[in-house]
Amino acid sequence: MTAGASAQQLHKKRVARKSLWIRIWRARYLYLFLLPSISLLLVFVYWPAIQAFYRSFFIYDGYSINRFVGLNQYKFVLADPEFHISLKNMAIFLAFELTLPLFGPIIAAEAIYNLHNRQHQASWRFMLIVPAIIPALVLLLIWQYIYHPIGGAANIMMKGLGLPTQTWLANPTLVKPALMFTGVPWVGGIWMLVYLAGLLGIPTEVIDASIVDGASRLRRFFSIDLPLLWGQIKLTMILIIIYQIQGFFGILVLTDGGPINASLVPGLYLYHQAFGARASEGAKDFGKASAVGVILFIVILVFSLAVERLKRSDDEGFSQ
Amino acid sequence: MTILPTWKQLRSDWMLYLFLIVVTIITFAPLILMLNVSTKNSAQFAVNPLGITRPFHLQTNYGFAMKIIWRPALNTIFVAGTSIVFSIFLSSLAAYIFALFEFPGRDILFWGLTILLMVPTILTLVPRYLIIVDLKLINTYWALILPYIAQRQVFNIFVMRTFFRGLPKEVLESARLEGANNFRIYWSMVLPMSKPIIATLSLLGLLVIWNDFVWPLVTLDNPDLRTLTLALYQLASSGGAQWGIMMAGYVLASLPLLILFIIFTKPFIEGMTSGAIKL
Repeated sequence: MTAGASAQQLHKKRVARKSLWIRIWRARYLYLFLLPSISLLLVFVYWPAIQAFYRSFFIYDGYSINRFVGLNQYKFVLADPEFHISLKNMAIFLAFELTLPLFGPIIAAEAIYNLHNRQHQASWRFMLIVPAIIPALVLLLIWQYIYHPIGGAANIMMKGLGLPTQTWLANPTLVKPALMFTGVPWVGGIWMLVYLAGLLGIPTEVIDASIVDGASRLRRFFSIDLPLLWGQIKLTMILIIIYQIQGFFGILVLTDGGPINASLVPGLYLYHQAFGARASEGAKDFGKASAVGVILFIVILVFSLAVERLKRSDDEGFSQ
Repeated sequence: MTILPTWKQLRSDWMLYLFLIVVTIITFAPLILMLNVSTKNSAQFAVNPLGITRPFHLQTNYGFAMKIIWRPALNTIFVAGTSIVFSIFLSSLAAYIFALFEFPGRDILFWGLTILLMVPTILTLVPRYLIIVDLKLINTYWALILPYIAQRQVFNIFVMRTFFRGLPKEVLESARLEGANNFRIYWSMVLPMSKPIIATLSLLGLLVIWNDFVWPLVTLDNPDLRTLTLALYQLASSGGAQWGIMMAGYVLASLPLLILFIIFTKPFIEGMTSGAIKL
């Protein structure tokens, strides 16, 4: 009897295997259409990601030197005072980005959402998105002019106010606030749109009920709008964190990490190891740069998971 | 387009209007500064950098800036256009297959995509560069186009898959019953119904590629191939304090996206607010 059962199972398995091949054969065109997409991802995303780990165990200058060094690159980077400074600077920038730049777009979206005139909602929305369409580099270069010590708008205004002029981006204590200020007034076009979409998606019955209950506008904001926007807020937070940990484009353009590393961030530290001015002097080390990349990847992963958990504990609190 | 409130609206919403007006003025101040300086020659700038000075030197400044910028602008338009068209085509096809078909390995393949959302660009920057070197693509358009297509895919597939799943199934099913094949359904039904999300993803992709600075800086040093961002950066660091010409260049570099955006505002916002963009 057991033998019969197992024979039956074997038969079933065989049929299943056969039908799997048939199903794969039937789906052959689907695989064919997925192929270009997947092969590009394999070459330019998966493979580099794997390579990053592999390279981080080597010293590699791109030409002749390619030597296995075990964990030495990690040891060097983690002990490098310059890397420590860059982490500290990153933490300061990140802390700032999680205040005004995170909540500014929500406030702007609320302001537009609460206008009674529908047409005005659309026009103000348009006005606040337009600046997001100006290329980021153009905005940075305008700020480069504003902060220019001679003829720059910032110093002209300082003179007008009777205050001493400054060498904004060349001053170690001023450089961080000056860089943060380039985001003024922190209402970020695209994010504002995402929040506005979230607000417009709140069912009108919920809002009507709260009005009937006599909830004030402020009360409504904290107990209806904010919880319902939590998904978008979490997404913004994760993207801000990811950008602040790895990003360096603006700093590369405006200060290149200077003066005396006062604006150096980890991404720029990595860039310097692989492509920077110092690297071209023959100190290029793609291995060290890869090790930095892996370290930053882990930092990003930890932060993202932390934000993810933030949501879950909040949800639990909600259901209790 | 109306912006300013009537008295009645002002009475109930004055704080909102005040906030919006102040924020808008601050946002636009640097842009107005750019426009203003772009009209000045060096002498005018030296005497009065902030005020309005006459005569305007539009022809000199913009003419000179145009000469520097037209070729890089065409490079960027070509690279961005090609990358966007191919990435939207490939990723919409993939999203269509992931959203509406059952086949062996679908979940594993999609899980593989999900993992990529966790891979930051900083991790792949150096190895990606080394791959481009190995493929002998340094100093070619391909060094930009191929990685751009690949990188845009991940986000595009996710968003479009969500969007496609929300399409009315009965319509697609009835087309199938009438004998349309899968590719035909994709091409003449799914794509046309997805115009807003395609407009949004194209514009978001265009913004990223148009703005990209580090990757072209690393992979291109042939002056004929350099992109707009590289040209602007060189213009800015060329010194000489030719602020008028520099600002004229910045204005010109901003125009194409601005015009495109104004044309496509409606579908762009429709796509942004369709609910598919949330991950």
